[in-house]
Parts: sequence; C-alpha cells; structure tokens
Amino acid sequence: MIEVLGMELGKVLAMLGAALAVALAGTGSAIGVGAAGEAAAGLVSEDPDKFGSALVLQLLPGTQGIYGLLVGFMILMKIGLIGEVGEISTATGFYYFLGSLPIAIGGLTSAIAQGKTAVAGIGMLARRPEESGKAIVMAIMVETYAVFALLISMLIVMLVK
Amino acid sequence: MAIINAKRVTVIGLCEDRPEVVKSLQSLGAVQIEANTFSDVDVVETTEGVTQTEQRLADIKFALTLLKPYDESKKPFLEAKPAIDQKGLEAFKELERKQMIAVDSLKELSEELNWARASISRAKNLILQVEPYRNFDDTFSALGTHIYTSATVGVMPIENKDALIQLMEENDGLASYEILEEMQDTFIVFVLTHNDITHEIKTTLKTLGFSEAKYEQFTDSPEGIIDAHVKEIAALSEKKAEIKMQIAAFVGQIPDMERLEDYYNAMLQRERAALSFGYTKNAFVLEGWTDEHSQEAVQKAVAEVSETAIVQFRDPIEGESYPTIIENPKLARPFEAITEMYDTPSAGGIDPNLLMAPFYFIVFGMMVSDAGYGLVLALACTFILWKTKPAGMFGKILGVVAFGGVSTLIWGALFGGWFGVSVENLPKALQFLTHLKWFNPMEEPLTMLALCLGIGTFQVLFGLGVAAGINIKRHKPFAALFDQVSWMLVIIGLLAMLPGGIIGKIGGYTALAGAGLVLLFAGREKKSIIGKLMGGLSALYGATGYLSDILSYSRIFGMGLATGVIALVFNTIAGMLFGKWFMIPFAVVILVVGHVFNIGINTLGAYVHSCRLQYIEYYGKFFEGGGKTFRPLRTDIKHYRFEK
Repeated sequence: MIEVLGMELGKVLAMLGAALAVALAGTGSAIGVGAAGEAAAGLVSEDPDKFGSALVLQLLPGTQGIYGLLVGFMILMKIGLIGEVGEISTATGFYYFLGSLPIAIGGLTSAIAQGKTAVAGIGMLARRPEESGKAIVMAIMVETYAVFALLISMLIVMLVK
Repeated sequence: MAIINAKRVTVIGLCEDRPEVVKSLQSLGAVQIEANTFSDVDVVETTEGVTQTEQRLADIKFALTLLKPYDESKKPFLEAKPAIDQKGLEAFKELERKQMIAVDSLKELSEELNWARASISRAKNLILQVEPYRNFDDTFSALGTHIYTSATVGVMPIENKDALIQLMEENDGLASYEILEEMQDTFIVFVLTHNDITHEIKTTLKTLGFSEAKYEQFTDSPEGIIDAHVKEIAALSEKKAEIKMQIAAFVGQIPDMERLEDYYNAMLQRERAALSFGYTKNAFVLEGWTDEHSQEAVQKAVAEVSETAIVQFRDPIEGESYPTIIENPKLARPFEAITEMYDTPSAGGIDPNLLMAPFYFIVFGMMVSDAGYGLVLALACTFILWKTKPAGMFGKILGVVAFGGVSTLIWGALFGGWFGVSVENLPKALQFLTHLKWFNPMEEPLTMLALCLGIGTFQVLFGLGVAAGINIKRHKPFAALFDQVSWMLVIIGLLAMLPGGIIGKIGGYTALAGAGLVLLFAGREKKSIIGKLMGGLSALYGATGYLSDILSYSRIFGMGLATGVIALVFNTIAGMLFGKWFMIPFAVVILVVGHVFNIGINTLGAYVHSCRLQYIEYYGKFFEGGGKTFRPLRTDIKHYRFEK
C-alpha cells in the first residue's frame, strides 16, 4: 500500500477527483450563472414582469455545478468519508479520479457555453417575450453534453469495484 | 385529436346590427377575423372609436398603477378569478361615469404630487449650493460694482490659496479679502476691491480658478435663504402627505376600476376587429375563419341578434392560407403547450399532440423518478389547477406537470425511491410498497441504460412509422418505403442481431436489406446515375443521426441520477444531524428546503429535457411546421374569467 500524506494513495486520488468534479463544474456554473444574471438584471430593470422567465434562463447554467457536486458526493461515499468502507487500492482510487474527469471538464466548459446561450436568450426575451420557450430550448441544447458527462462519470464511479 | 377543417365564414348585415353581431361572435369565441377582401366596398370605419377606448384604457391603467402602492388589502393566496358572462361584463358600463371622474382626479393629484416632489428636490439642491456660503452675512444682492468698490464672493481651488493671499498683499490698501469657509478641495472667499484695480484683480482671480457665486436674485443672506427653503420643504412635505392621503382615499374604487378595465379591454378587442370589416353606407361585411364544428354555433350567434344578417361558409380555396385549428380530448389538451412552444403544425399536416403526449408522459416520469416527488407534484399542481383555474399557457403547463407527477409516482414506485429513500429502508408500515418495485437504477445502472435506449429506439421507430403513414396517406408509397421503412428495417435488424443465433442472422440480413434500399433509392430524385448513387451514400451516412438520436435518450438516466443523488445528499446531511436532539430542527429544515429545491430544479430539468426529446428526436422525423395559429376573436380580460 502506497501512502501519501499519511493516507492511502487510492483515497488521495479519489478525493482529488471529488474535489476536481465539484470545483471545476462549480466554476463553470458560477461563470455561466453570473453572466446570465447580469443580463437578467438588465432586463428586469426595464421590465420587472419578466423576472420569472429570466430567472429560469439564469438558472440553466447552474445545473453543472450540481452535477459536479453529485459526482463528488458519490466518490466520497464510495471511499468511506461518509459511512464506513474498507481499504481503497491505488488502482480503484485512480478509477474514481478518472470518473470525475468527464463532469469536471465537460461541466466547466458546457456551463460557460450555456451561460453565453442564456445571455443571448435573455436578449431574445427582451425583444420577443412570447418566444421565451425557444430561448430555454436553445440553452438546453448545450446542457445535453453536461448530462452525458454526468452519466459517464456516474457510471464509472458506480461500476468501479 | 387532430387538425380540424377550417371554414371561411362571411357575415353580411346592416350597420345598425353590427355592434350586437360582433359582441355575440366575441362571446362565442370561435371566429378569427380577417381583413376585408371585397373590392367593391370602400367606406372604411374610422379609427376614432378605437383611439378613444385606447385612451380610456390607458387612463385606467395609469390610475391603477398609481393606486397600487396604497392598496393594503391582502389578496388571498391561490384565488380563482370570479366567473363572468357577457351580460355581467356589459353591466360594468354603468361604472364608467363615476370611475372616469375618479381617474381624472387621480391624474390631477398625480401631477400635483410630481410638482411637489420636483419643488422639494429643487429646494434641497439650492440649500446644498448655498450651504458653503453660510458664513457670508450680507445678502447676495448687495454684491457687485458700486461707486468706489466692487464686492464678490465665490469658490476657489485650495491649492491657489497662497497665490490669492500673495495677490491681496501686493494690492494691500486697494483690496481686501476674507476666507469664509474651507472645504476639502476648495474654499469660499469674499473679495472687496477698489474700482481702480477691480478689472485687473478679477482677471487674475479668474486665472487662479475663482468662480463667482451667482445668487444675486436673492435679497436675503445665505442663512436666511437656507432657513426659508427649509421651511418651504417642510410645507411641501406636508402638502405631499396630504396629496397622498387624497390619493389613498381612492383605494376603495380599485375593484370598480378593474371591472371597467375589463369592460374597456373587451370593447377594444371588438372595435379593433371591426376595423378590418368592409363597409358600405348601410351594410357591413365580416370575413374570417372558423372550424367546421362551430358552423352551427356561428350561425346561431348571428341569428340571435340580427334578423337580417346573412352568414355563409365555404372551404378554403386551393392556395389560400388559413389557420391551423387543433382540437384534442380534454386530457391531452395540456400537452398542446409543448407543441405550441415549438411551432404551429402546418394546416395541411397532422396534429402531433396525441402522438407525443404518451411519450412525454413516460419520459418526464423517468427523469424525476421519485415516487414521493411525483406524489407532491401531482397533488400540488392539481390543487392549484382546481383552486385558481388558470387559463392559457400557464394552465396547460400546470396540467402537463400534474400528469408528469402521476408518471413520476409510477416510475418512482417501480424504481423503489421515495423521497430519496429506497423502499427497503422505509418504515415497516410502508413495506407493502416493495411489491411495486421493479429494479433500482442505482444498483443496476446498465439495466436502466438499456431501458432508456429501448424507449428511445421505440420512439424513433414510432416517429418513422408516423412519417411513413403520412406518406402513404398522400399516395407516396415509395417515399414511405425508401425513406422510412428502409430505416426501420435497419434499426430493427440491428436490434435483432444483439441476441445472436438464428434471430441474429435474420436480423443481420434485414438490416442489410434496409441499408440496400437506402443506398439504391434514397437518391432517386437526382437526375444522373452518379447523382443517385451519391445521394444514396450520403443518406446512408444519416445512420449516425439515428444513432445519436437513440443515444440522446440516455439523458433520461442522467436526469434520474441527478434527482436520486441530490435527494440522497440532503438525506445524508440531515441524517448526520439527527444524531443529537438539539440539531433535529435544523435537520428538518434541511430536509424540507432540500427536497423542495430538488423537486423544483428537477421538474424544470425534466420539463425542458422531455421537450427536447420530442422536438429533436421525435418531431424531426415527421413534424411539418410553419402553420398559422388560430386566434379567434374572444373576450380576453384580466380580472375575471369569461364564461359564455
């Protein structure tokens, strides 16, 4: 058993993965939600009635951060930081680390891209309020890749023995 | 369940009957008014009436906006708008006189209020400007050039203070100064000069950045000016409060004003419609579209109010553009909102709502996938629907989510998840729910993935089948065979290959046959042989499209995982707190807030992702859009629910 910082290397790698999933996907969401929020505030200052639709658009790039949190949480559960689990081999820990990568990277980039789409969608909401549904669908097109990243991250984390 | 035939309707009647005819048709709400096409009628109704109604409506809206902050009456949460019929709405006319007088008074009061506000801010500004001169104890009007001397007061940058002192010392005897006030960057100075050097000094002062105070209109000292304006502000504030009281006295009339707003809104809708009629001196002609089931009702609505008016119907002429009129069974109607958000089906195509609703229902439930959440969603939405009876898009979306809740309950029970707790860990009394469980996606992710892709494959095949059906109905059997059936063979054949063996072999040949059909015939529209072949090849490349369509359904699992794991997160955190008795309230708060948040975010996610699957993966196969939405003339009011 290799030890690093007084802890099994496997656990360290898994925790690194959990940290990356939450931090990177969360960073992407923060950027995306922030950008969309600025645009939404501009719109709502002109027309407070559009707060509801603008809020939905602002919220959409926020899901990546949640997906990252989920993967991070699952990894922590698996390595026993929450609940009791036995030893984690270096290989297993490394698999958990690999499992965190799809949502970490996919979440980071897709949240930023989705934030841009949401900003454009809020612009659309200002000019054509009746088309708000379409603006949401456009932002959801980007979300697809975050969902896929989440799916593969979760499958790796769940299937590793 | 489909698009119903549109009928062109023409009503010709006497002008004196027109108001009643329009009212009757508006109340029926089944005729979309079109612009007049008769070339031999040319007397156009003036827009005067419309302008007047618009003006009154704008006034009422202004009054209501003005009164809103004063209204302290609490509206009950979730309240349905009261119902009203045509007669009740008409009766609101008697409110007109009193309320319009009130509106005029409110307009005046609002102007007075604005004036008081502007005066107060003007006075405050002046006080701010004069404040630095407070130590100057003469009046501003006493300044200026006199017989022997000139006096001035003004402001200068602080860095030129030494220069000023030097200048004054140089001219000692002919000039004197007094610094009245020193501020951070500037100071206030009074300068008295003998007229022999006044001009010279003034020029020098200017180069030192001296800026003269120009308040010579005041015959009072700065102190006095400030006092006077403080008093003025006090008086104005009192006046403002008085005006506000007067405005607040009108709050009781808000309900009547709202009624009048509805009355004018309905009137304006009629008057705008009447603008597109054709007129002669004594008669009018109305043209529009209605659906074939409403013909009798339209006839009756007109006959009820006019003995002379004639109503005619005809089918649309070839090439004429007409609205798409959709009719669905009551239960499928909410799902129209999904298609409405996408596009209006073409009038000559098919209405996809009934073909889409079951898929939407299934997919939505799988995405939220928690029986407890399903129960909450279904109950909450049904309750709001029952309590407020919302109309239009919002009502439909609530309906969709209510259905989605039922589906979620079913799938959640099948997957054995109740508020993020697996069914095995529920209290003993609820153990009977284990019988409903099929499998847990978290424990058998591959089964779940297969289920999602299976549903995707089925829906894609179904979409192709619908497209084939449309082609056959249009007498294009070859298009159906080569563009849809061929692909269905490929997909089904490849599926059959999975288990292997003899069925797998048959499947392989079926897929090959399908691919052959695509390769040979997909380019049949092209002229040259090479063109045909290239067309077939590029169509075969479309296989990647079908693959990505089916794989796209794996998002169902992704969304389901998100719900389950977020619920687990909150349950775990709350579970840690439950250990100590004094933490229990916090644990309860975390549970409630967490699950409400999870329901909210996942319902939104499930709603839009289910939409996407319908729009891209399903409608892409057969939907023909670009139709015109049917917008009949109806009573569209804000504060009441119109019932015929």
